[in-house]
Amino acid sequence: MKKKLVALLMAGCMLCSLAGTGIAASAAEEGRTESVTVGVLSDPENMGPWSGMSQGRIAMLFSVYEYMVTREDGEVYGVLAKDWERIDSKTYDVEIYDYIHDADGNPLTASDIVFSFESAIATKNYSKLNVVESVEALDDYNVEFKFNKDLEIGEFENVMLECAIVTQAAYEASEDQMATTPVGTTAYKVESYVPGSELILRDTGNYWQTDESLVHGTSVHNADEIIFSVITEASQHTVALQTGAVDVSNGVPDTDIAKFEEGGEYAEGNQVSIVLDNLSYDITYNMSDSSVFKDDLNLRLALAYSIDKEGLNLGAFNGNGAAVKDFANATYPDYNSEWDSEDYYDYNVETAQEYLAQSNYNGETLTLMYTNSGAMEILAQMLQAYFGAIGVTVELVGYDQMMAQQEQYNAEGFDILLRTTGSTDYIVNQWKLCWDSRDYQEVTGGTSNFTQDDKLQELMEACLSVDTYGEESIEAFHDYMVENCYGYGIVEGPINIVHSEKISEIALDARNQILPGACVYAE
Amino acid sequence: MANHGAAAAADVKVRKKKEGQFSLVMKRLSKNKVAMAGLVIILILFLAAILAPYIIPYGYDAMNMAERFASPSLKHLCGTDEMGRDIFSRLLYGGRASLSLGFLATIISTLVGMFIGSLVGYFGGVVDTVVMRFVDILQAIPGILLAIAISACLGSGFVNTIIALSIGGVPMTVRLLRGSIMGVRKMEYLEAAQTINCSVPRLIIKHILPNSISPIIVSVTMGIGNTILMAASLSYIGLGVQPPTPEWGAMLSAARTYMRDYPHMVLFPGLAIAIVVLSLNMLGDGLRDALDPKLKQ
Amino acid sequence: MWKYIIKRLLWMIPVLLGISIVIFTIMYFCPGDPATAILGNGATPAAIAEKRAEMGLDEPYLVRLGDYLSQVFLHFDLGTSYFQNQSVMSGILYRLPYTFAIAAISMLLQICIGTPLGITAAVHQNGIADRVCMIVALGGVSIPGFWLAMMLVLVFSVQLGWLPPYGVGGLPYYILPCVANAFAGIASQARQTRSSMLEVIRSDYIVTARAKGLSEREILYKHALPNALIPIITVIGNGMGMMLGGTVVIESVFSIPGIGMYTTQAINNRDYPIVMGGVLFLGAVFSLIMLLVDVIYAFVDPRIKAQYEGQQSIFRRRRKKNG
Repeated sequence: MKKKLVALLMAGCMLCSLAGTGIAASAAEEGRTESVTVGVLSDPENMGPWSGMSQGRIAMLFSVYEYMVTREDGEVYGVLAKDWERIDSKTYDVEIYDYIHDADGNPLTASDIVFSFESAIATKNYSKLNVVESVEALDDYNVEFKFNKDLEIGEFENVMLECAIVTQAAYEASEDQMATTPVGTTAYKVESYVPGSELILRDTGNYWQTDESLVHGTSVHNADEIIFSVITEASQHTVALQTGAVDVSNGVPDTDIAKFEEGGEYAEGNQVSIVLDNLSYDITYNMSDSSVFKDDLNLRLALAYSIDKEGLNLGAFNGNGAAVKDFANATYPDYNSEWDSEDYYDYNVETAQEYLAQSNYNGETLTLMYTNSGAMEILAQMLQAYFGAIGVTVELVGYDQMMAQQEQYNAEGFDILLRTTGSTDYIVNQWKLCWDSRDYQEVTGGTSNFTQDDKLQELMEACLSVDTYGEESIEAFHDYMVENCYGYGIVEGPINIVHSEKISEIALDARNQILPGACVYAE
Repeated sequence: MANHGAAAAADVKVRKKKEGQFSLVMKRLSKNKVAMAGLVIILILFLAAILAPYIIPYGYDAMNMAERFASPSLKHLCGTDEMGRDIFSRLLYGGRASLSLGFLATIISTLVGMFIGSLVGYFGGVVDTVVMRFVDILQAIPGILLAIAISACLGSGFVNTIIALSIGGVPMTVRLLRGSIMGVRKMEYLEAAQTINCSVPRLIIKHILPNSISPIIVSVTMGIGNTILMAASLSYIGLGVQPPTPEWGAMLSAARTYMRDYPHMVLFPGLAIAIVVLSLNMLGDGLRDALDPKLKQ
Repeated sequence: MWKYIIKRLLWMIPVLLGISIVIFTIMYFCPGDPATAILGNGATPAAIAEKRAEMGLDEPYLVRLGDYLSQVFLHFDLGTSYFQNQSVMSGILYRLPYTFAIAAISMLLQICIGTPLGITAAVHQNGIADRVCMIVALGGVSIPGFWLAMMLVLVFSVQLGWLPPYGVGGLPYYILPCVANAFAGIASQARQTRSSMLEVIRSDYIVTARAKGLSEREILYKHALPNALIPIITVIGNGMGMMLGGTVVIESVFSIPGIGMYTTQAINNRDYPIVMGGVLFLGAVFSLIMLLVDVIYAFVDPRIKAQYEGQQSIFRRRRKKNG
């Protein structure tokens, strides 16, 4: 079930072998296509390099812009950056290639890097860039980054991955800050854009990186034309694939997936690839002073043991997801696979009832807060039933995403929070999204769920610090979390990618978005 | 829809006695088989909803993962949903939420509208001008967008959904009532009432309202159906009543991704909505005819 | 007449001002804000607070309301979207044609199908034709729109493969959305026409016409119909106004980038300028359509035209407000 996609490696190998054997140019056309149509659920809305994040934007971002580096299967490779060097814990020097130009042909130099970073920081749209103190061009192709604190694990790479790079010349030539006319350094440029309906990108045939051994997944351009077709209703993605209107989509509802799999109604001409999302669904308890969970480990454990994670997977994802064994999913390079075989609050009603009997719970109604969209809605209802089965009454409170994000810092607003977290690099950075008090104490006095535990914080910081990061600190944090049960992961969802046989290998970026340019085509 | 009722109301003649008019209307209505059928269906559904906790075969939120997507059978009359819950039980129980949502939201908006409308209609002048501008404002905002904005702000939930759905209905009632009051205002019996020093509120409640009520009754009957449909639209957008409380619109909208493989999941909630709205409209049509004095034989 | 039109246009100013205040207030008290939306899921409270300050969202209610009103009503600028970095006006104008096309075609279907249905029903009152027409009409108003839309897709796009299931393009793309959108409208149009026809048929002058020995056909189409159609103008005007803002669900099912989706997505993102601009724009269009309806009324119904010049009667006042 867990198909790990190796498309990127395949593509890389193929290019290498082609280069090695010196096959004529016509054969190099293999794996390419003239046009590919990708079904997406929402419109990019704003394609400008540094605008706010949105679901529709993520889908097209890597096809237009390049970043300093890229991340593939846990490894970081330079894209625009040729090399980088850590001067000290607060200073990095980066050298970029000296022959970069954007899709309009403008040469890109160190001053454009400085321009891009400074512009991105000025928008305040990227909290990961808050650690940047200054960006300076040392000469035409060398940039120095100074940071305002000692960088933690993965932090430098995340800064490099956060800011899309454009040339100042192209940006200033754009009338709308590139909202509809983005010009990045990939091979693609916008040919036409019908907001809310269709975005067409075309290969300019003038990509700057001519050394193919240095072209990584996000920059591969196997399709001459990429069409992003906006289809807002999920079940219409099924129709679109079936009628051949789109070649690939990640929007097909879980229940329709079986139709495209072997033996299914529409299996002919279509293939399914299921990858697990890097987001996991987690539960955190309200640990504020007034909460019933504050000094009641037994109650926390009772609820944890009452959840049938496989049942959640079946109900919410038709069995295509997976139960998780940590406050994170298993896809990170620093995930300890031994956890898979450990007991992680494995479903056991008797254990749950024993803990409940020892707890201080007296039949009061607890509230479970969640975001009322798709899978969350089903998960919340199932959790309510599981908690109910051991005798804990739970009331559901669903908010839209904006409201839920605000309400999660309201100690009086809820008892149990169903949330998603995820990171694109290390497991510790997913943990950080909830358990690093330094980010939340101003509002909550502790971690994001109001936990005040100095030991936990100490273990968290040990995981994040470059000096102490490692198996030992990760194990210690994991064990401490399991023991104290302030929160836990329950299940991770699948990303269902259905594609026509025209595509022989699917390529995904670190966020598991489809990279249409890097897919390998069977034509 | 509105102006037809208003036109009918303007012609309502003063009856000798209210009881007399009421029994006359009921007599006419009982002759209308279609309307009576509508009434009976509504009453049965109401009864089923009230008795739901005692007659449903399964708990409305009782999951059974072993029996997901079961087709209709003797065991599960309407099949089961994605969590193995019995759809028949959910439909019966869901009648509580859907019907009370439709009725409460419509009745609240009508009562508020009637209150404002009668004040405006009676006083006229500056009050009329000022209040009607507010009504203009509310009416010019598209109803569904207003409902979406209000639900987004208040969050989902039963009471919040009622609020969101009822605000949009107020302007129509105000106009309707104001119109018919304007119509009866100048009539002689009111002048007569004024000359014997009848107090203003008494005048409105005792004399004006009963004579303007018929278009309101018709619009309420039809409005309930519209409100239930609007609630279904809100559910489609992801707002509306809080799960796991079953509500027909929410059930329908949640089932839409399964509709190809398990059509029973959309069929039954859709049917339930259609039957209610249909019955209400049948009753509404009948009431309108019964209340229309021109039709008297 | 002109005096009346100008007066009505002037009245629109306070109405639009009111709409702005209402929608601004709703959005102001809406929990969650665009700063949170822009920064995404993992943002820390500190980063959100900083972004809020940068966007001016931490200003008090009256200051922001004042700024917004002066921007809209003094500088005629609906503002710029937080997300799209594009002026709201151009966003609306870009999407208007789609929404307008759907509303107009739906309205056309509604008139062309609903009116004959209603006339047939009225002419054959209580006959079989009446029953059939009314059952169709009742069915139409009883079906949830998105359900019908998805059923249409299943049948005409998936099973038969005749029509495109989603997207925008030529006329074929509009058929399914418009049929789905018009269905309920056809039904209410038929019912409206029927009752309006019945009312006219029972009126004194038709009785007189009958007494004069005119043929039934002549009575129906020359005398009854034109008069019965007058109140239907209101229904059409109202429906047009509603459809311009009320096609959110249809737009979502068929992935049409119309104003409804534009505004609804903005509500989810808390993109205030779009929400306020969109609602204000739709409000203005609605008011203009209502005015147009009244003017058309005056042309088709000489009784009303006379009233514009003549003394004020209750009937006229009601018409005017009723739109």
